[in-house]
Amino acid sequence: MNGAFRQSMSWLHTWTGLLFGWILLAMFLTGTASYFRPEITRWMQPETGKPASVSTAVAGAEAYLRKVAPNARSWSISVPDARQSTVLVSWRPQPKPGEADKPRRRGGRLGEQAVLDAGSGQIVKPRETRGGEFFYRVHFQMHYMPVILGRWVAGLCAMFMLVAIVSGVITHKRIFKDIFTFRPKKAAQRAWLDAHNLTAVLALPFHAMITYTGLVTLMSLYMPWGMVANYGSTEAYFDAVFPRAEAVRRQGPAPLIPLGPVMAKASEVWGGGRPWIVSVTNPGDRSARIEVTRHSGDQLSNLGGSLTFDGVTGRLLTREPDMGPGRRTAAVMYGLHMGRYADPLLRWLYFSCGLAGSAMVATGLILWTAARRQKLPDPDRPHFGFRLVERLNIGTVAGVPAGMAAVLWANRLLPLDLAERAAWEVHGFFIAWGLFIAWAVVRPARKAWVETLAAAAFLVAALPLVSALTSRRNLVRSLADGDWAMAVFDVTLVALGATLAFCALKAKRYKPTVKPKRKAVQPVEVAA
Amino acid sequence: MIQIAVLLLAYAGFVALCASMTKHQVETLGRTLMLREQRLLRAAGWAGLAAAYGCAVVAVGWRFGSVLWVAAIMVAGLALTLNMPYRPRGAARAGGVAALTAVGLLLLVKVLVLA
Repeated sequence: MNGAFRQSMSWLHTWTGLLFGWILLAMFLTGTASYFRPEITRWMQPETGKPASVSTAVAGAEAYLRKVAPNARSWSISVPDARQSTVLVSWRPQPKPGEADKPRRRGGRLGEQAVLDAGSGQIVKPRETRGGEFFYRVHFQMHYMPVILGRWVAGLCAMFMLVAIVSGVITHKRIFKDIFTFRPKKAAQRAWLDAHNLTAVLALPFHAMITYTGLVTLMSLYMPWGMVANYGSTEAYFDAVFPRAEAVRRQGPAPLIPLGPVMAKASEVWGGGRPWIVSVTNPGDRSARIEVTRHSGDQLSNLGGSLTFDGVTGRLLTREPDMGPGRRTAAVMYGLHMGRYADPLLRWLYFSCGLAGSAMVATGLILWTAARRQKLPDPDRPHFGFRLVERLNIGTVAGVPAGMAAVLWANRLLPLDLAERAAWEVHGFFIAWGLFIAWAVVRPARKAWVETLAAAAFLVAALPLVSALTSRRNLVRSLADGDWAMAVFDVTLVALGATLAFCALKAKRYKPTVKPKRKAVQPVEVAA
Repeated sequence: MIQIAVLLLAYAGFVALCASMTKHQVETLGRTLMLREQRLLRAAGWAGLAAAYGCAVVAVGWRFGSVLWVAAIMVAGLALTLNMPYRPRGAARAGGVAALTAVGLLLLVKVLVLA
């Protein structure tokens, strides 16, 4: 390949990677954690119990709604899967006399809601927390800014990640020859380049897939023109592909049929698929409709489609039409990104690839300094740009894991009746990250690496202990209850903490290779 | 259980491919290979990866199986490469053990299915 072309790609790779690297690292780490979003939520709500079967959960929710809101305009039940221990039920009461009957906003809440234990159907009041939802949301819409702006920022970062992937592959001269090559004992620049290459190349299918499909998940925001050209507006497009149930006039009382058999029938129509959302309009009326949306966990596509049943006779009325090839492709890409269909083994493989991606970004950032340190005019007093990158690297590589741990610490330590408690948990992430950057700025770089990594290791690894001291969730109890997800959660925290501690130890033991002083350049060598 | 075999076969396949490369022969096997041995090992490596794909398809169907296979070879490759500088001989021997364990698992599954 043309040398000049490769060189320009190398330049592009270096600078896009550096400029977006810090946000990308945060996006990679929080996104990786999001593969365990329900588990994180469960850990952060120690008041909740264990997951239960779908039929138990739906029966509990149905009994509750029949009791509390028998004449509501509509009900909605978020059916938990085997990883969630609570059911979210919401309902929309009849309009008060004189109140305008506004159509419901798309995706809007139904008005009243309650959280029920999946097993017992009793109301649970878990502590105020955003749970795993925070890591999931911050991963693609940032924080402290309007959601749409945040998504544009994430999209910009993802786009440049894609640029970095393509330019990186072009820059790398020996992808197949060096595929198993890792030489950590060589000089810093070589060792970091190897580490960067191996985490990038060996997990390249994942990196390319996750970046591209990440952009696809928000393509209706980034590139609405196709939809606008054909439908007039994106709203019109969404109305066409996800038709809203029209408001049905009440026709007089009639008992709502039990939801259990309807679920069973839906599952039969889907060939074994599970329900995800069950909504009922006009319960207790002749016009009642039951809409069952399919959980996407048994297919690659993230869209399961929905079925509508008559709420009195239980007859299947309509089913969502099959998707066209375009939507189906987009839905499969969306599904691949989310990995909701993954069984435990595949989910752990996803998680490992996410960690490899985080390591790729982190090693790339460190490589920028490693490649330039030797070339500094005075290595003891680097110029401002070098110092800025070096300090941001330390503060981010150690600070983001520390920040994520800080959210979990805050979850256990903040008073339960604190106002804005969930928001303060989230502030904990940014406060910790900021403090780590400040720490990296005031300390000498070598010491800062060791200290911040050690502190991050402590913050992560100590979490099971913090939890055991402050809540009813602890490893012994999880094991005794056979609650494997929560037991593995604690063990994983310790393992991740140990990995950070290992990095701190490596940083402490690191001895820079002493480069022999460069001799004055001989005129003969120049001629050669 | 077949899913574990996918991971093991992917790892074993990569060990064979790695050991067949001229630059890794001495560190993994302790000697340089004859051309014929090298070809044989390379073929065994690709066969391992192919067998992993076959197992993945048998275990969860071609849709999920394809994803599982790609994920498994990525993580297996990472596991091997991260170990190479520290214990190359051990990583290579683990490849042999992985292949044997995979065959054992598959036989066990076969027996369980027949029983």
